[in-house]
Amino acid sequence: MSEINQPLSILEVNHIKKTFGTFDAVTDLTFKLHPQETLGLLGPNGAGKTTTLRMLAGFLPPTQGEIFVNGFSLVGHPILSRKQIGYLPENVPLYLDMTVKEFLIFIANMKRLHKQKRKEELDRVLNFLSLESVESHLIGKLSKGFKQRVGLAQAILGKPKLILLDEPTSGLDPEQTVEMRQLIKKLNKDSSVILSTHLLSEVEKVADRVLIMNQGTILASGKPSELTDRLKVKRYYRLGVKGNDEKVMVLLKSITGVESVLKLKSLEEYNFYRIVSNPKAEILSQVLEKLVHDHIEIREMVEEESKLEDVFLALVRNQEKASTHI
Amino acid sequence: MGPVFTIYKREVFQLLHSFIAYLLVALFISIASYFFLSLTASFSIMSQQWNENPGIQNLNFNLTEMVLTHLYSNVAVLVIFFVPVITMRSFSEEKKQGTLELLLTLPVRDWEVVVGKYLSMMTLFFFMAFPLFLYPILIQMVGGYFEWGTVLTGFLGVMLLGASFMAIGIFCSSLTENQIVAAVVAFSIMMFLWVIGWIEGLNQSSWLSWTGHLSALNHYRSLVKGVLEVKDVIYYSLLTLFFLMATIMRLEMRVLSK
Repeated sequence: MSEINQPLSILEVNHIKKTFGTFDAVTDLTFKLHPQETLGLLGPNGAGKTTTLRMLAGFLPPTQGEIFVNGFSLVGHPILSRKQIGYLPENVPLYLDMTVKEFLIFIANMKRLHKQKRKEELDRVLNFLSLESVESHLIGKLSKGFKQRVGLAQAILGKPKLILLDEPTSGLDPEQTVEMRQLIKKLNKDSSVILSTHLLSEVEKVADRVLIMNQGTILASGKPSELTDRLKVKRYYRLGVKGNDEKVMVLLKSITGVESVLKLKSLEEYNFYRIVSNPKAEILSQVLEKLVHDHIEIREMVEEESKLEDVFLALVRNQEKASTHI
Repeated sequence: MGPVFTIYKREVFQLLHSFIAYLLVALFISIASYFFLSLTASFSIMSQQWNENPGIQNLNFNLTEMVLTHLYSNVAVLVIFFVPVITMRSFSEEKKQGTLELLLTLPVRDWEVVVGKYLSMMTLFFFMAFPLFLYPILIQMVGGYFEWGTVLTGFLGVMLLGASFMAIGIFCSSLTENQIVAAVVAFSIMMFLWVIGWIEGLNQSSWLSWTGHLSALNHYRSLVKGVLEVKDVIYYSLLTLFFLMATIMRLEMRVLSK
């Protein structure tokens, strides 16, 4: 195969494999990434997500197989291909003794941006990530959320064609997580994005397509909604109400789509339940309607996030190994 | 701006913001100055005694040999202690913080990272060693006389020794994320190269004579005595290149503990 491919896709991964000694961290991975697409790599810890991203970033060479970034082979043209990649490693490693601006200038110089473009790009990323207020602050003194933004800033500096984000919301508080997800959603205007995560809810909210990995191989792939439907993952709700326990149980079980109801606890005069429903049934409005109709006071009703474990277990149960060709 | 210069600038920036770098430079210069002062004072006392006892014959009172040669020999031991401390964090810290992964996924070649870091360390070492060049000038200003050939070869010896030992230190730092381990291993290798020549003359066997060729001390000794030989320069150049290449190969192995 020639080293320079026509850039039909931003990223082309051909049968890559990574072995550490006798351990196969990644086995025969093949996929393509299209322009302006956001792909979620989903899997439990140890699934091979980080190893995969490290190979895609050019940090680890694959034991077998080839990777092309915008048509350039990562092995054959490491500098040209890496110029097209922005990478945010797990745990966001940064030079803590530099200010935000000094660090970004360092990265811009390392990415060999021309002086004029460097200034424009610095202004763009500082503005895009709302970092202007802390540009002269030492990175070591910033909060976790700001550090994560600085990490993202260095990755998107120079408008790379491909952005790789390894667990970008790890360690953030809920508010920061929401902000980070909103920023990631905007990235695919200029670039294609791959993010790894172990949170199903994250890929559902951010990614156009998902690859579910385990033990170094792809178990399933597709749009998040397709996967959930295909794997028949149940939906979980937590409900807190004031009222007669037996009456509430009967009422909930009578709703179409509810598969089971489990009482979790009682707290003061409130009872808390977990409702398990069919994934295709929209029970939320029905439950609220019936409770209001019966004058039952509602303290809370939230849909709990679908758990990766459920998807994963479903995958194993169904032995539904997807083809690695997408 | 090339990546080597960018990394060099970043490393120098880090050194300028590091208390330990200032401390090391100050300590090195203070101890070297103390050596110089004590050797000069000894020379002064001995020359006074010689003046008072003109009967003593055949005593070669050579300021260069009695002060500078001894000074350079003592400084070499200082180098063995200081260089591992300077180099221990160069790659260990990057590994520990995870920034090595960030650095090596930028559009930069591994050798550019190693050379950029190495040059910054050598810049620090130059500032540590430079006063050794100033001492003879000071003595000259108050009427002393030094053989400038020996001053230059001696200073070259210190720089070559520093350059090769810096390469060893950087290599050891690339082996581990533990700075102390990096320093201890570097110190051990340097000490080994320093003392290996001591067994050269123990017997006539040919393999023992190789220890003399391997010895950093033997090659240094001739330089500080004012003898500039190509073999000594080649020895230190090869030692430097070998360990820099080993560092680059080590980076290419991409061994990370996290």
